[in-house]
Amino acid sequence: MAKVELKNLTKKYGDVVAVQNMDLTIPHNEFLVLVGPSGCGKSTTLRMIAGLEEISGGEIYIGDQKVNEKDPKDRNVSMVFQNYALYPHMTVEENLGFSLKIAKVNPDEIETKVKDAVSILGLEDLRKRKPSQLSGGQRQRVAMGRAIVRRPDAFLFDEPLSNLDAKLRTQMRTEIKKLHQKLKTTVIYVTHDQVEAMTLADRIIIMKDGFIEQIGSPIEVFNNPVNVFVATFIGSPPMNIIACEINKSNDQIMIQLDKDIHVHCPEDKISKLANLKKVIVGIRAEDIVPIKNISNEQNTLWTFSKEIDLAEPLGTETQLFFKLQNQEIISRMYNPRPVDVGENINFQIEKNKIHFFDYETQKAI
Amino acid sequence: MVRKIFRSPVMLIMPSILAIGFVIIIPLIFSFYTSFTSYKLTRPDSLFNFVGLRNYERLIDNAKFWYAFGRTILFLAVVLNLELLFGLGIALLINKITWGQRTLRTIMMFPMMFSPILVGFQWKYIFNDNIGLLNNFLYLFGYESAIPWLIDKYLAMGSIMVAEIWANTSIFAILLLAGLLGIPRDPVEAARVDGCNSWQVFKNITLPFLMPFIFIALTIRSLDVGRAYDIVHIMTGGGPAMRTELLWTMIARIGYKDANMGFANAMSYVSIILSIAFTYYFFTKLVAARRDLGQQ
Repeated sequence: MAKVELKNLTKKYGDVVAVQNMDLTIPHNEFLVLVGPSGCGKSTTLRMIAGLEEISGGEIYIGDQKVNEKDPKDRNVSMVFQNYALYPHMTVEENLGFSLKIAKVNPDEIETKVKDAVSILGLEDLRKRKPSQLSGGQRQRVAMGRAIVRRPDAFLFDEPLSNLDAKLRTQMRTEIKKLHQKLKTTVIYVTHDQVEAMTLADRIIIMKDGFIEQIGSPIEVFNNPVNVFVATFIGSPPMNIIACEINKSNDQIMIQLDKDIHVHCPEDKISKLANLKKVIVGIRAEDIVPIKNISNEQNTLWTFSKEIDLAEPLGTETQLFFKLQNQEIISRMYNPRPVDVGENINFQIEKNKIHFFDYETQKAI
Repeated sequence: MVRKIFRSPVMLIMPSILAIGFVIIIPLIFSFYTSFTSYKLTRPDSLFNFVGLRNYERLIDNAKFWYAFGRTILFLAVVLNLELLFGLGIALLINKITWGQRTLRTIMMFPMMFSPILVGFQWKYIFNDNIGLLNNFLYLFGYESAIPWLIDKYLAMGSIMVAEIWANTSIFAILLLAGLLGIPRDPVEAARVDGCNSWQVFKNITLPFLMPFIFIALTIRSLDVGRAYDIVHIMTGGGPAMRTELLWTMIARIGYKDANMGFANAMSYVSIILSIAFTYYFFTKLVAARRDLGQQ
């Protein structure tokens, strides 16, 4: 039952800045995901909230309390670690009840709470086992159980699924989501996997080099990335990025997608692109649509045809690879048909699905 | 038939058979045999004077031997416990240090670099009642009567223990430090988030992880301390009035000074039971501690 607030939070290791002036309010019951490449400061942020890492500047509030100087034990948060961090010398039951035992909760109450957690997570048959006798998924579940028995103010997850195989990861992802809906507690979840971020989050924070690049709901950051980094980080396969020259001829503003491919600038962007020489065009793979015949509706569409370098059939779709400006471009072909390498394929792109970024600042236009 | 012995499988293990034979089996059989004879070093022909179990019978009736036996157990118990305690303390402190840890680790090992004989001599002069550093130091603070460190029947044993602990605590510290460095960071952090203060983390997480190392150190040191001879021999020679006589000082005296090797060997075989018992006990504990941690 608490919101978490970070004010101007900074972490430095010597001269290296890991987290830079971070401001953030996480309302009660929100599922917040911090996502970014390795070394972006997301884990450091989480560890500072947990109290495992000293902060170099700024303030952290959990509930209404400032916890800057408090030990982890006094913060009433619980944490799930990447490699589970179970106590190897304790049974599943003892692992789950450990925090309560330390808090001197009476044994009967511990018993009930452990039982609850065990049944929520489906660990009934494993209660007497030691962690070494559990599989990866079971260990992960125990680690989560250990976090939930305490009913803390906030759950902190530090890449909890990265040691699991792909199938189990998907399954645990769903379970974490369900768990959050059941427990209604603030969750701060760190991952480098954008799929996890998209599926779990109420709000996503994309971090890079200690800075927040963008905060928003999964749909917001997917549809309106604020810069090239966010655009390429969120979504799979990553958004296609092409640096294009802008040519003005006969009062028309043309964008050069490739050597012989010139397309019209969308109406609503003309004012912004008119004075630029170059622009970065971003198009998601699913928005580059392979078509049979090129349509004439040049007002709303970009169309071109291109030779395919590679086709990867995935069953429900086939990913087509070709090059624009020597950049590898991916297109998704739904309703796939066999495609030969070297085949010329027509593509169309809806103009309103195209993202433009400033060539210099990489920011969205 | 002779040829069969020279077949290659036999030849291949021959080096190890020879090595084990010369190093272990022959001395073992020879010494065991002599414990059933009245073998005296000064009369080689007595080697063939078979006396059956007489040496063992004499030993069972020998009160001095059993006093030495008991004293050795006391010595082991006090020395091992204190070395463990001090070693653990030192290891925990050094583990906290972030700068200069290597240097300190090296410095810490200095006492181990001296021969036990020299350590004995050094402490003998520190504890000397007339010219010893300790009594002279105490004199500065007004203790005018000299304390007979190596002459008093209780103090002598204590003095030897101090020397032994000074020389070998660092072995514990080194082994336990290795253990501490090997403890994964995650369970410790998980425990801190779970609400543990430093002492609770130590008791519930660090110590269980350290247990295997503690028992390895105890096993090694129990064998080492159990055969203590040099320090005792130099500092008190087993005196005063045999009050510091340990098993091996006694055995050495009977075997070499009295030249009564048959009897000494019989004592040695009984003494070895002590070492085996300690080793077995600690090893069982070690296995249990490792199983507890899920390490096989």
